[in-house]
Amino acid sequence: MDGEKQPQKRERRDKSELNAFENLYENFRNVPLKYLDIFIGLCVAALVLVIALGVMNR
Amino acid sequence: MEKTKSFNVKKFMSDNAIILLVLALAIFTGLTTDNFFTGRNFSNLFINMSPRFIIACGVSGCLITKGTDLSAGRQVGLAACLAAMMLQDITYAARMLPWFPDIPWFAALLIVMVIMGIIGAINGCVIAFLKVPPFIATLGMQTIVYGACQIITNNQPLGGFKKSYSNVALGSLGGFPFLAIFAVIVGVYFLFLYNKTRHGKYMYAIGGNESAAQVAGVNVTATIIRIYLLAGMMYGLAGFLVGAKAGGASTATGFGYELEAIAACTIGGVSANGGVGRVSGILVGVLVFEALKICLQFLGVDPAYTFVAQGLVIIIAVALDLRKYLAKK
Repeated sequence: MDGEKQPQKRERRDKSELNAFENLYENFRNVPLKYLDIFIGLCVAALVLVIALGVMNR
Repeated sequence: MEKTKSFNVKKFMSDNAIILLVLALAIFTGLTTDNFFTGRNFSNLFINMSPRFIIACGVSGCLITKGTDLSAGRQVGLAACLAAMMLQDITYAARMLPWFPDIPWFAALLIVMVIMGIIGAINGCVIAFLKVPPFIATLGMQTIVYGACQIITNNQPLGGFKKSYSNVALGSLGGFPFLAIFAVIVGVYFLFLYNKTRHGKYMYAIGGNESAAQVAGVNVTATIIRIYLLAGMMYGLAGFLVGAKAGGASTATGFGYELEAIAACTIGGVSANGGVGRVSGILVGVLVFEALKICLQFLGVDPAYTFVAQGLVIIIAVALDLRKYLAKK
């Protein structure tokens, strides 16, 4: 009986029961991958820029 | 018609963007500076990597089970301070505990690991029994541990270690630094634990689907407590080594190590969303993060820029992990 009750209880897990990362990731569920790729590209460009600035300002 | 697997360059670049970027930076650093590609530099790299790899191994279990451990860095600091208090030279005038007997370093290591294991087990109990989200539970523990560290050390830096303790960090066996030997032992242990034991299988099962794991008979509570206990013991070991390496310890020791460890795990393919992660990946993640720091140091980049670069690497790692998660949906 317990075995039957347990999954039902788990199925009703609401958003507050999810961990911080899971909640965070679920918030981006409707974001198109294209935008995420652009964001990653911008971050990589920013990283290269920061390193270049750091090298130039030494 | 037979389907052939074609190598997807775009996917490979996307999955390993940070690794490729740091590799390019290492090549650039090697070509533009002297003494980068030297045995001594690589030895330093491995010595720096060792405690961080041990911390990352501890954190990885938490991440695989969809948890996290924000108290890792502060626990490392507390462990370093505890080890320092127990292993100050008996003749050192400013000894923090003058009444404490002269004990061998391995006894102190054992005591530190037991204390940190208890703290880790408390984290695990709060998460497993009280169902407090790991993010909140370990954030609370981070502050508690920091406060406790300030109380027991009176906010004073600790130094004057006995020689046998300093030798743990400075010594080597056949040209192989002791610190790296500790890391190798931990790596082999975690490799065995994650791949060959019931505990490892339970851990991946919980990370993949906790409800399904529970229905299948996995003792989720016990497994989570074991994971956090083991993580605590690893922070104890790492703190002990960090103290020996630095030749001193203070409340500031270990600051930010948790984020470095989480970032290294994420770079190495341990998904913050749980169920995925390998020890080899963690090693690569730690290597990439340390290599980035050493490259920037060699290039003479101001530490302020290094922090910005590290922050960006963490954001990119999480964004790539999120991309993988969304692509699967």
